[in-house]
Amino acid sequence: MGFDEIVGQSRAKKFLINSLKKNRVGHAYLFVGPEGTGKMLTARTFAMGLNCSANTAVKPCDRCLSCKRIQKGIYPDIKIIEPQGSSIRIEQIRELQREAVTRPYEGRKKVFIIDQGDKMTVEAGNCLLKTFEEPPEYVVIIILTINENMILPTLLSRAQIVTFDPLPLGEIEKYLYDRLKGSDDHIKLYAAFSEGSIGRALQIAESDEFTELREEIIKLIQKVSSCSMKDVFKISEALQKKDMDMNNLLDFFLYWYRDVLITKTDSSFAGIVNYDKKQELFDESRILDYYSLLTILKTIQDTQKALQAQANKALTLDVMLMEIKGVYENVHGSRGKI
Amino acid sequence: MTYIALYREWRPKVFEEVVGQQHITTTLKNSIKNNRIAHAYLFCGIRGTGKTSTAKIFAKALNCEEGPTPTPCNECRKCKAIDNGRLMDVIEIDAASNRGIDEIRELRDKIKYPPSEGRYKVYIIDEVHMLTKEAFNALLKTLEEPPQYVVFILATTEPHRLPETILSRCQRYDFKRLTTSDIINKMREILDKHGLKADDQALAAIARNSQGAMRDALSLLDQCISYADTELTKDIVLEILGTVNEEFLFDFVESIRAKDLPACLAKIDELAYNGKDLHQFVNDLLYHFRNLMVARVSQNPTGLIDLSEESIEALRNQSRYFKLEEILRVIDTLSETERDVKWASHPRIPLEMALVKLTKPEVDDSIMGIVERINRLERCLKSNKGQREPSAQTSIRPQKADTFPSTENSLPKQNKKETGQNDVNIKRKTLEELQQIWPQVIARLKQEKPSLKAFIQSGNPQPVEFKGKQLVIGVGGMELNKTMLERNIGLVEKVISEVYNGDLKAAFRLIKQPAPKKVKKDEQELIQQVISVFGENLVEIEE
Repeated sequence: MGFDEIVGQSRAKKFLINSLKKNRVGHAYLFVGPEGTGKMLTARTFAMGLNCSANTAVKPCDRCLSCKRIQKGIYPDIKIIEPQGSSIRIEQIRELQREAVTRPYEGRKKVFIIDQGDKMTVEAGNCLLKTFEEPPEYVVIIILTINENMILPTLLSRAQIVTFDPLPLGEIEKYLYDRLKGSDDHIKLYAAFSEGSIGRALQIAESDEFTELREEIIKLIQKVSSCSMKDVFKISEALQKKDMDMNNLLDFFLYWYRDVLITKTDSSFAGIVNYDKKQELFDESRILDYYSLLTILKTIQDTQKALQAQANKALTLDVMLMEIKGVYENVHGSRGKI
Repeated sequence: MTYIALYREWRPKVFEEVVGQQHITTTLKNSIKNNRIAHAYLFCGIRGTGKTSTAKIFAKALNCEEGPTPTPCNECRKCKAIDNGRLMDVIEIDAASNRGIDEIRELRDKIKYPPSEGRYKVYIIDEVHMLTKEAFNALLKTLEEPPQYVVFILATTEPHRLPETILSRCQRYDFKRLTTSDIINKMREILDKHGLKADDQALAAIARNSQGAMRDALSLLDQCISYADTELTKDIVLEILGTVNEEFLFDFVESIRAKDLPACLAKIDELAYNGKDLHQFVNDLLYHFRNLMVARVSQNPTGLIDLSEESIEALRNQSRYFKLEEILRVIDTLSETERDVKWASHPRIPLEMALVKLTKPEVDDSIMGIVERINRLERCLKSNKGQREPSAQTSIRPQKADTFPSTENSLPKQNKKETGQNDVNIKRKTLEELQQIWPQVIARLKQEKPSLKAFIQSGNPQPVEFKGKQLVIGVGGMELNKTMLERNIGLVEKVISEVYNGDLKAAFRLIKQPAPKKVKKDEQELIQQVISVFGENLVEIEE
């Protein structure tokens, strides 16, 4: 599990390896990047490098007892802090501060990895400030997060920020191909929907429903344009029945209309996600003008925001679909462009 | 020696080393010189501007064995003890971790004991905004009239979260953001001491990115030093930051100017493919347009844009192609996008939407967008060529023809004279225009010949395409619909020509169309009534 086995992320890897080599290891790191891009894996590998007991030039050696135990998660000097329930509370940070006072049991460094650092409450984040700035010399704190804007700016300025990039599509395709032994025709599609995250790509590829679900949702989307206003509620019901996070479900909507927008601009464009539906996208792009497309996309985004803020699911969906339907009616009503 | 982060290693030790806060350090030094030391200070300002450092220096200045002196020696036992946080009389409280009333009560209980070895007992309460309401209130009396040997220094990044009653009891000092040159000079000094090389552009890029906070700058510098194999160059900084280089930005802006949407989208795809941070990119783009704006309005922008001379020259060149209000519109749109991109789980979608808006002003319904459309119209009218710019096609409708006689009426005729491949375009365009006026045509037809009403309703004729100068009209339903309309072809042509303002021949073709549902006669009357009350648009007929 050396740095070599982490897919992509050459920049982050080079930085961390160089820090180890030059003996310039800081006390506070912030790993920022989308889910499933290897933040936790890298953090653990880095911790291995810090505590590896072998005498090799390149660390971690991946063979010594320390490295092996870190891999298994049974090393006493590495602590992982995760949200309890929906957030990381101030008590958890106080616990960390208590533990930081004692020296490492056997390793050189005590490493604290705070997973989903954006889930820290404001109190917890502020509580961490002082320790994060000047911890004892044997402590390294690594915060992992998907969005650095959700971390207190005062914490940010104390950390060395390591960004994890969404993985290039090619890398994900290659990874999936190896992993699935090339047995799936939909690898390209998984990669496209993965948003550059290996974790998400795997999750999608391993659940059988994804392809089916996508077909189903796309059918529903297409129905919106042709059905009557009152059938919209049936579509809304069908959507609500899906046992799935609404926001992920709306991503299908978002990507569909985004693809229509792109197709309208340049139908030969390579960046289309629903690349197997080019004809359908093209037809749709002839019905909707740019203005209507932007309106629809804005509506979907607003709906996602509203759902995140715990708005009533049924009502919000109804309103969204009605608004989209309204756009179609406007286009048809004014005998818009074909 | 173990490695410590640059910003800890280079913490200022005397007032003179605090960068960019002369207004504060001078005041503090003079107050010590004149023996006018207050009992409560409040230091506020954004992160990394030197609040806590200044507080520690002040504590040393008060308790130094040589002092009280504006220049603490940093040599004596007490100064060293304060640096290491070991002097009993300088109490640093992390208010974010000890935020309750109990901690403040404890503080109050101990405050009555005079300092054990120093002259002053200094309480540095950092991150003071995190105290609870009760804790603040418990502190009030002590803060107002502490024993004469006590000095409070409160430090915070968010003074607006302190109660008024706390604010009014303190001397307030606002720490300013550092200027880019302040930061660059400091970094240069540090690098020289470490014997490291770096080019000016690299340091400028770091300084720009740190937004006036020294700690941010030093953290980043630290990171770059670790990353770099040899010398620190601008490319390394950009790589660490995940930003794009200037060339790419200039190129991208050129595509926006040329309103070349496919090129813009392809470039975004390239960024996403290479895993660049799109939020950072939007920020860079915004900053570029800000620079364009400055280059456009200012005679001598050198001091206002912290880029190299060549870059400024390039900016000035590029800015010539933009109108000022265009630049403002872009900045407006991008600011909004920046917010969306920041929170979106799919950052590229809001960005792509913004680019559609920027390259196609006719779909932007913000005031700025509309202004641009009006400007374009004015330009059209002034040049009086009667030619519309092609991308503005949706903004003028034939119905409004009498308001814009010069641009509109002549258009169809002119189009017909043109030749070559343009023809196809023109045909499509006239077809679109025809479709827009089509409801009028149908209404006129029904009026002129009521007996045709039934066939029109069931056939729902629609313009389909042009064959030469002939307009093909598709008719659905039974063959009879088509035959009946064909018998009245003269009338149809006349009506179209009148509404459309131009001669057109018509032909009919039978097409597949879902035939409107058959309705019984007495129901028909009822429906007519309903329609006359609510209007055609609102009524939907069902079995």
